[in-house]
Amino acid sequence: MAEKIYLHPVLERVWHAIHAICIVVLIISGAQIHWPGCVHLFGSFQTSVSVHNWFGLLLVADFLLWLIYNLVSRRIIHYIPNKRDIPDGLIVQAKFYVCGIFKHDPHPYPPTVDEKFNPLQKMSYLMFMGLMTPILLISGILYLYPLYFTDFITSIGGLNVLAVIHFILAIIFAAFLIAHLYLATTGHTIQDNFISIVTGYADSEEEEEA
Amino acid sequence: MMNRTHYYLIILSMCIILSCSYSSLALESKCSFCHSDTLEEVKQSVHGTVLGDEQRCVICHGSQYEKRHYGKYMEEIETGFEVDRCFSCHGSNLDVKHGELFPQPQLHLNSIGDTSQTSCAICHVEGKDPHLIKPVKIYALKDCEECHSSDSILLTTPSKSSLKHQIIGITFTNSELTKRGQYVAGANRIPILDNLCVIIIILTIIGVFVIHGGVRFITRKRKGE
Repeated sequence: MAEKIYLHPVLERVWHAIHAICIVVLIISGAQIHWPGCVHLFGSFQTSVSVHNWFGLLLVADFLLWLIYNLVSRRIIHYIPNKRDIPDGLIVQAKFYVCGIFKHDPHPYPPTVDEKFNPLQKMSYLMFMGLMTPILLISGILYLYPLYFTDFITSIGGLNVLAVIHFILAIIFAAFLIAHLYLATTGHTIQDNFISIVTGYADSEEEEEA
Repeated sequence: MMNRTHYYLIILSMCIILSCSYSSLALESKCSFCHSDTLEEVKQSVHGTVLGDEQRCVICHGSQYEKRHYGKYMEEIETGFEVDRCFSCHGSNLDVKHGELFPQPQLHLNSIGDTSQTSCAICHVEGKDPHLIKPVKIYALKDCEECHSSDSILLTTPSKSSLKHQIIGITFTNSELTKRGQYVAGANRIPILDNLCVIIIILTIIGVFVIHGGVRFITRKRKGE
C-alpha cells in the first residue's frame, strides 16, 4: 500500500469544487442561450440568462480566490514550468500518454508535495488559468455590463466580436473539461484522482491528475 | 357669351372656395381622404380611445408630415414615424416600465445608448399593422425567444438558410441585425463556428474516451499479471 501524501489543501479543494460546478453550469446554460431552440435544460431563456449571469459572477469571485490564494501562499509556483519541463519534460510526459501508459510504465513525473503537477499539467493549467480564464471572464463581464464599456466594445468591433471571442473560448473550455475528466482516470486506479480531489490525499508513489 | 375674363374669374373663385373649405377641414379628415381604413384602425386602437380627433394622426407622424406628403411619389414619402414620438407621451425613461421584463432594459431598448435603434412597435404591435396598437395588458410581446432565436422577429429580411450556408456559412445568420450594429444572443450565430464546436466536442470525446480509453482497456493489466 502506497504512502499517502496531502496534495490538495482544503482551500484548493473548495476552489476546485466551486470552479467545477460553475464551469458545468455555465457550459449548459451558455449552450441554451446560444441555441435556445435546441437546449432547454434551464427552462425558459430568461432563467438560463439569469443562471449564466450569476454563475459567471461566482466564477469571477472563484478565480480571484484562486489567484490571491496562490499568490499569497506562493503555491503559484506549482503552475510555473521550470527548465527541465521545457521542452524535455513536455516531450517525456507526452510520450508517456501516447505510448508508456499502455505498457504500464510508471508515471514519469509523479506528484510530490513540492511539485504536484507534471510538465503538461503545468503548461495547460497555466495557459487556462493565466490566460484563457481571464479572457473568458473579462469578455463575459463586458458582455454582462456593455453599457459601462461602450467605447471599449466599439473599439474591438462591437458586441458581435465580443460574443465570438466568448463562444470560441467556451468551446475550448468544454473540450478541456472532457479531456480533464478523462485524464483524471489515468491515476493509479480509475477512481484514484477523483477521490484525492475530494479527500486531499494522494498516493505518493504514483499519482496522476490532468 | 362669356368672355375670357369672366371664365378666369369663375375658375379662380372656385379654386379659392375649394382651398378654403379644404384648409378649414380637420387634419384628420384630410388624412382620411386617402387613409380612411387606417384611421378607423387607429380609432379602435388604444391611441384612438385616448387621443382626440385632431391629434390622432399628427401625434405620431408630426404636424410637418402633411407638408412633406404632397408633391411626392409614393416611394419618396417617408414612413413618417420616429421613435421620439412615442417618448413625447410615454416618456423616455424605459427602465421603469421594462425593468421587470429585461435584465438590461437600456441595452435591449436602446442598443447601446442609441435610441434610433429602438422600436416600440416590435413588441407592442400585434400582427403587422402599427396603427392597431392594443393596451399592454391585452397585448405586448414578452417571450424572449421571439427575438432570441434563429427565426427572430427582429429580422427585416429572411436569413440565408440554404443547406450550404447552414453548414459552412462564415457570416452571421441574421446578419441584417449585425449590419444594424446589434448582436442578439440566440439569433446571431456563425454556422461554421457552431459546426466546428460540435465537431471538436465529438472528436474530443471519441479521441480520449473511445480511442485512448479503448487502447488502455485492451492493454490493461489482467489478474495474475
